[in-house]
Amino acid sequence: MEASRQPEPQLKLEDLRPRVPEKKKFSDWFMPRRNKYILFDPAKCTGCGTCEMICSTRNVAKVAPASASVRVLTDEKLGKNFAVLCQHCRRPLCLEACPTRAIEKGDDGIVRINDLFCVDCGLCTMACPEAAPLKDPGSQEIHKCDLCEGDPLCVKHCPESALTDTRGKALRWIKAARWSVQALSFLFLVILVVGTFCYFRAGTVELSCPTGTLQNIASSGTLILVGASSALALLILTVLFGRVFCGWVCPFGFVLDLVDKITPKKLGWPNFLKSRMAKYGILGGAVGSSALLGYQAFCTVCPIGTLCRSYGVQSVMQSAELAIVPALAATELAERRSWCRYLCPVGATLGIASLLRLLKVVIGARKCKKFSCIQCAEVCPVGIIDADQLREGNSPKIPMTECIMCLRCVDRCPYSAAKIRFRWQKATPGETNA
Amino acid sequence: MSLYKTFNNGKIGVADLTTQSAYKLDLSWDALGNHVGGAAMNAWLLSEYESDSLVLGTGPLTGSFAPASALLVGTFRSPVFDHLCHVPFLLRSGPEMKFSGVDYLIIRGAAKEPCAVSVTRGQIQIFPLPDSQGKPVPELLQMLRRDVPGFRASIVTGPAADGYSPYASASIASHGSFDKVGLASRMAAKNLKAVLFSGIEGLPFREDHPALSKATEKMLQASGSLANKGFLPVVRKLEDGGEAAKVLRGRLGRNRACYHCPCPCLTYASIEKPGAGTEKDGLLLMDHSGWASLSSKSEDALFLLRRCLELGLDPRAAGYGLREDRPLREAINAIEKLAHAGASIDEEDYPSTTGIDTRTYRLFGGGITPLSSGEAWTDRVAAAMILGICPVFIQIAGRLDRSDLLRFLSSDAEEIKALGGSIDGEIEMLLEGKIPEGSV
Repeated sequence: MEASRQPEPQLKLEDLRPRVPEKKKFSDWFMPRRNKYILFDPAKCTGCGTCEMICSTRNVAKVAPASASVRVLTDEKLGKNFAVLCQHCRRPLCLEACPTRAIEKGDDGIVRINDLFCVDCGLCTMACPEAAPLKDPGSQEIHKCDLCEGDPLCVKHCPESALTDTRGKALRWIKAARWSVQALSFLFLVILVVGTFCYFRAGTVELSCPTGTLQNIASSGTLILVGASSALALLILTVLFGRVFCGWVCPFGFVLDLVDKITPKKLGWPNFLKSRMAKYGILGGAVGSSALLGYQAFCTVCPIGTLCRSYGVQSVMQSAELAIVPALAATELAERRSWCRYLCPVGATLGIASLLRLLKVVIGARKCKKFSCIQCAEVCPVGIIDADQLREGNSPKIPMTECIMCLRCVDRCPYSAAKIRFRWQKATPGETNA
Repeated sequence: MSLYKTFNNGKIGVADLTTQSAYKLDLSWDALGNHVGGAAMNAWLLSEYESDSLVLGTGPLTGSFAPASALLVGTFRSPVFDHLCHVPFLLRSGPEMKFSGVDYLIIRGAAKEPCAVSVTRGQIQIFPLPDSQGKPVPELLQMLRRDVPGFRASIVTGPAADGYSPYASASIASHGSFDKVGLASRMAAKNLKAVLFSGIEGLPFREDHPALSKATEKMLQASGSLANKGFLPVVRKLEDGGEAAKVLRGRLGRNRACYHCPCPCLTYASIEKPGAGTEKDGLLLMDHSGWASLSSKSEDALFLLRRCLELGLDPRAAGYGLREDRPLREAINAIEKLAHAGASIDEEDYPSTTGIDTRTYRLFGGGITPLSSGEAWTDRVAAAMILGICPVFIQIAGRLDRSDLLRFLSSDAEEIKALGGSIDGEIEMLLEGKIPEGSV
């Protein structure tokens, strides 16, 4: 009798070339690793082709510019140059597209092609938004920059220094400064002094929440000039610097940022609720209901106010109020700063004031590497930098009424493309994107 | 001579337009040892074929790590002067030809219909271009991109050559060239509209070349030779160059360098497109003396230069042909007239410059920017034309002497000395217009 045959287990690609998940160190939470890449300055490039020459000597051991891993394209009318070279993206699309998993990203951040596994299918070239893996027209092999294992020859030989190898600018102090200011504000507004955000008085200086003041006027039916003028401070701050209160001072914003750190994975905000105009509706509703009810209706459920009133040293500890903060902070599980994006009427008031802002954040089209980077869109807590625009190769416009001036984009941009400008300035000389 | 084996493919391409056939020959290393390469080798090859042939060739250093190794030389018997002329072609034409698999290309006979010769991976093909007659250069290039895809460098002629204008000039893509001695007319007589190269192969050269190149660049930087980059500093050094430079004020854009050149002397200029708002058009300024001549006649010289390049017309000759202070439309009409048959050429319209023997100046194309004069110009330019180095760069980089370049060919001092002697002999031959001796 013939023994029943067991089907032989089939080897899958996963068995042969398992995907190695990216290792993240503890320190990456605070200061993400900055890997090397080559920065191209089109203003300096003269199109001499030295980079292609020297690169080809490494690729094919002869001078054959067509076999290089870098290609300089020149607009023959105005002489604008564009270098096609690998940007060693943080999440390389070529790596995902490779059917034989021949493309690997090393711990040093360099994206390499393993020649043993590459079948020269060219899918990586199609997947790469820069078309950086280049097909050798002679041998049909795929060549891709590997930064010469950390010491790029093209950078050394470029006569005009149009190519530089860099780890990006070390401008991570903005992040550290913001966390410090947020923590201090929280300590001051919530822990030490009670109710300071809603209304604060020190001698002759009076400060108050502008949304609360609006509700006060609506509910009382009278305009108290002292109260109104006390609300002006925050509005003037917004006109001068944009919504810095939301990004740097708001204690509830700080709580949301902490929750975000604990829960980096998001469930997603329902599409039908995704309207940034909703917060203006809520603001209108808050003012209207205050007029009808005769008291400041929204202030009773305002997470900023309840946080200040109920969680400090001298807190009232009202049980109902205690529940508001965690309930609204739970929105952070859905989307980063979803409260600020869609619901916060205080943000709406400041958004209206920011129409008169003096400053803006711009992403310069010339320096921005767009699709290869997208780091600004990734770090923006209120999601106003359009990643799709970047993927399409356009520099996005930033709606400043929504921007909370956290400056995370400025901090993170490795190409110094994200900048603060006066509203009347262009992004960079000659640009019109902002 | 084995010395040249790493610098050459060892192949000569022959395209016979009469029979529409093409074939390859092995390059004689002995002949190369005698004539070194470039213009000298071209002259010898031309002596082996019919006198109406056109020889395109590269020097041993073309495409190498030697600075400004961009040169391709077109050698032919000029229909205007009836003696041998060597026209330099720059940008990337030289390396593209060398990397396409042939070192020299001999174009014999004449086709019945307009055609193009294309060289890719050592294969020479002749393409018919039936509707190309009279097409402006940009349109012809568009047509070529459609019909002969993949080429990376081109030498083309425009309507001026089709109309047998004595002012016709061959053009590197749409940028013009230093041809002022009738190479375009020779091409037109052959019904040859374009020569296309696709340099997708390569050559090994020597391992120490990158380091030698960097050292040479540093030496030039230290000597201040690379201090003034761009089109304008070169134009200013020419006769009436100051006035020519004024016309360009506020219109210059990025500099452009030829292949592996550390000192770009070409610059893009922008032209406002009429009715296009802020959208700008532009062109590459390459022909320094051509610009100097044209801009001395008109404030609208950029428009006129663009029209010259479209028509495949020598801008310097066009400058001579224009009367002072013409309105733009009249000037353009005059240029159109020059580009077509019937225009006569005066002796004074032939290329010449002060300080350089007229015959010698015309021998090397009549357009090489005269940044030095007398024997210095002749010696440096002739050596560059043999070795495959840009003849303008070799004048700009005054500190760079011949032995610096020969170090790229050999590291042996004795061999360099012998090479220097060979080049001296070849220069003498070229200047005397003698047909060099030798056999395949």
